[in-house]
Amino acid sequence: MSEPLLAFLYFFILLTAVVAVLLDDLLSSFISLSVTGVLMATVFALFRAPDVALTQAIINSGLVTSLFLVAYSQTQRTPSPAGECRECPFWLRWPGAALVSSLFAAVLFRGLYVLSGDRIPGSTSAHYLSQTLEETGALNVVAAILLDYRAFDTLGETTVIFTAVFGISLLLSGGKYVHSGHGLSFIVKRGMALLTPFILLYAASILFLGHLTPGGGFQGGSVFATVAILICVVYGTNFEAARISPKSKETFEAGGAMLFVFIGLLGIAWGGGFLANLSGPFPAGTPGSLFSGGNMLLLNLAVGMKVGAGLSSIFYTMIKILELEDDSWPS
Amino acid sequence: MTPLLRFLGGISIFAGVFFSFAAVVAILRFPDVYTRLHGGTKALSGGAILILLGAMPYAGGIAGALKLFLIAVFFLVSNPMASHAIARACHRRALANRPIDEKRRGDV
Amino acid sequence: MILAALWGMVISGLLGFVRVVTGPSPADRLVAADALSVIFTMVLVLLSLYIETPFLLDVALAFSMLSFADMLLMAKYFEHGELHK
Repeated sequence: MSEPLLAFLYFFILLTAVVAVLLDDLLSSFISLSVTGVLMATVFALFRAPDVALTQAIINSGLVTSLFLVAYSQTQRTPSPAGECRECPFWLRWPGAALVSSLFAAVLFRGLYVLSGDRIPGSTSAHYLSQTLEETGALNVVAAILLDYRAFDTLGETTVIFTAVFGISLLLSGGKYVHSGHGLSFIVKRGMALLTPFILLYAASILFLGHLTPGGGFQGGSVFATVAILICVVYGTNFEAARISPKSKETFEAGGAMLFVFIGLLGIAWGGGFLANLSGPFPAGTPGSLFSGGNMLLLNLAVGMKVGAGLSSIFYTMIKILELEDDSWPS
Repeated sequence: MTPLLRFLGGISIFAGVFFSFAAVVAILRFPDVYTRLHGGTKALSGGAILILLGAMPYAGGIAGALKLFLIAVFFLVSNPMASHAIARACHRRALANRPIDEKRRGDV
Repeated sequence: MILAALWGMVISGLLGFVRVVTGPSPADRLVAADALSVIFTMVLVLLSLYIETPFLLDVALAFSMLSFADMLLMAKYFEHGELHK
């Protein structure tokens, strides 16, 4: 690993973040932030962490952009009249920000210091790296930790996504849809018609091969959601609402959650614990083949369905036009 | 055979890096958003494909080489489409063409 | 040797970022961000050769697909001011 390259990338990340703060227009600062996301994915790749780099690249490019832009387009852009906004005192602005940032950085570095250096023999990470193949049958250690050792936390994460979808639907329940058929130009429409099957195939390969190669349910589901958002953007919301109805998105999301819990209950019925993998009814299979790792294939499918349907329905809910009479919340 | 392929691959990678650097110089030096887009995307597509084709002998096995070929094909289809979308957005927003001012040639 | 190519691409990335900082309109910044996403996809490919991790090619492929989607989204937003027009 090249130390000067890493230092240069760190400097570049700081530069893009500072520029994102200092630019006036919010779209421009968001463009700078997307460059920061790319650089972070490169740093993760330099640290030999392909799973984290894949997640960072997918989520930052596809979803953060679209959700941020659609949220920003719903806000009121006119500035408040002069005199209503009290200036922050100078000693609070730059010196205060520098002090808080350096304190935060010091705490982070002290906490992350334990992770650097050689792996301590006998620790949890050494156990995971040596015992994963026998205990779970999967080749990808990150997927084994997410879906076997800590599968209950993954269930909690899907609950988080469900809560987010639920909250956004509740907040924007008073709006109405304004469908249009514009989309982008003809060249982009035909090009997307050529490319979409391949992107979907690649997303399915990320999802289903999650226990062998970097990827998994989250990353694959996020690419599915990005393709749905892209169809909405390129072809217009008329097309997207006709082809992928909101009811089917809700069905997929609920189906993913129920599949996850059902697999967990199968483990209880067999005599192992909740979400038991190899001590439950699931076979280990030959390592390296598709049907290996016990229930990790089905859990990847469940998480992918949940995440993909949830994130695309968040986007579809947020494009509603809110018409409020007197700045009250929609009832 | 393989050292010759690796040598050719190395030349291709360096040519690709040169074209990418030329694209960035075009983005910095040209006076208008349309010319910047034109110079940037033409040179950058060529440079990216040269780098990807040059990396194929180094990839180790037929699977990596196929994956690199796939990325190259995807670039060839998608990068011009993205540039077209940006150019059309600029045109629709009626971003005017700025006339080239001879006295301000060195303006970055 | 690949390290020299890596340094060349990263320096090009830094110069492209200068256009993101200066460019007078958001369109210039968008053009530079498009170029930067292609440059950093190439950085990911060269990194996968340099540190001999073949899984990074998957990351490069996914990132090229999603940066293409990113550019389409930002072009749409720049044209209409909203994403669902």
